[in-house]
Amino acid sequence: MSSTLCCSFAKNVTLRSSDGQTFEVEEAAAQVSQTIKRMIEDGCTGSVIPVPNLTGPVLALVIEYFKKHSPPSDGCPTALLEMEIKDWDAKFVAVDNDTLLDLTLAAHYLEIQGLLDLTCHRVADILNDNSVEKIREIFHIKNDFTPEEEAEERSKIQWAFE
Amino acid sequence: MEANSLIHKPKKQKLNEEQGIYGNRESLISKLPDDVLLHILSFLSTKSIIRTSVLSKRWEFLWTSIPNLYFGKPLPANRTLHMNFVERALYLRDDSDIKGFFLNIDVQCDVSRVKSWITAAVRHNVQNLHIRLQDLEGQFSLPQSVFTCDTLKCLVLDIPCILQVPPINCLSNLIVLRLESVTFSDDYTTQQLFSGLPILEVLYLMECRWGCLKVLRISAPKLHSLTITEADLWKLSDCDGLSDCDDHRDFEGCRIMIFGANIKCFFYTGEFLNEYWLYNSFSLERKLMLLSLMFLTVIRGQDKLLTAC
Repeated sequence: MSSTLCCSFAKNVTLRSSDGQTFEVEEAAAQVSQTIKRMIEDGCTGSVIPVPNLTGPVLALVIEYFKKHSPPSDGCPTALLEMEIKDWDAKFVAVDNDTLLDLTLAAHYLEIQGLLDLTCHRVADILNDNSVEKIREIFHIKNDFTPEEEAEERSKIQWAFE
Repeated sequence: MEANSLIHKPKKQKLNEEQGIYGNRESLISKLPDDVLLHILSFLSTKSIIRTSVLSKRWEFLWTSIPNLYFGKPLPANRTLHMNFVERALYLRDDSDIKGFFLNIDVQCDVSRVKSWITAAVRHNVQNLHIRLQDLEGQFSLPQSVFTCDTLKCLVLDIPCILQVPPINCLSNLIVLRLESVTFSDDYTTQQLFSGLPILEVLYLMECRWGCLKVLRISAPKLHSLTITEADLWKLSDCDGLSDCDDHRDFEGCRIMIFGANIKCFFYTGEFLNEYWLYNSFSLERKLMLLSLMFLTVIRGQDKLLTAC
């Protein structure tokens, strides 16, 4: 991918996932994460920045997001670029449901508001489009109501099922 | 299971890629903190939010702390269940603040219930309050606490009633005010309402009725956008406010004096039933009589708004 090329002046940082994989990324791109931004400001740039809550494969995906969303070097993003990013975002979260939740957790840990909005919106779409039973199946939610309790809950909000 | 115990299994991860990156996928969604789940719910329609309450015990009351509560108009057949639900949403709520409360309902004879909901929203430090009420049977007045709510930033009222404002009122943090279909009462409290808006920036007066009010001073030093749409004359002739006047044929309109040093956009739609005087600053030298400059002002206002978009 062309975005992996970095100019000789760009400063890089190294991120290490929970399972010990390391990734080099431009400092400006990594600062899309408020958590990493604070660590860089606190002087962690000389060494490797640990990201203990994310596994390698998830961190790799997050870094792709960083690269796409790093601030353009030539100032304001154009409308065309914004549209392209929007398309890219839509494809980025068109992943399996577990990866989607991994990315949601990652966005939360790393304080990446744009990614959090994106993934939460996608999860919300899934909740919107499916029945209660299907949602439980998709997201492995254990139904801990007794049949009586569930029937009572449903009767209170019956109109929402019509 | 703790998150840490799940994430140190790189070899297994590859084997279980189809199941996901962590291997054991049991209820990953349950590992999301409440803030994140609430953020997810914020993208859903009210109906879908409510349906999540039967997913599991964790979800049962989660929706009761969502920051924005939208209650759209229910189908007539669902009205009773819907009203019970609004009540449940408000009274089961924890101490968390309500950011936005949006209510659109046919009130019918449930005036006191609807008023108690609005009071509850104010008690939860509501910032955006949008109330659209129809089908009012008898008199309606808003709870007085609305007019002293210092957390309010945006207030939208579309209520066909006489706006009764308490003697002491101050919306010190209000930035946007939109009043629609209300009739202003002709005592000094209306004047006080429009004088107690120190940081108001945007004001809409849509099809409001001035009743027997003869003069009104709107004093908002930070106001930069003002939109006024007059109700049609035929609508005014049968309005409550005017029927209180001696004879509505004597209706001479209201003189509305607007004091706003920062007004940039002004939109007016109507038949010039009332006089609008705009004091662009507190200096009388810069007084503009809008009746003569109306078209120019409207066109210039539009230009500015279009460029701002």
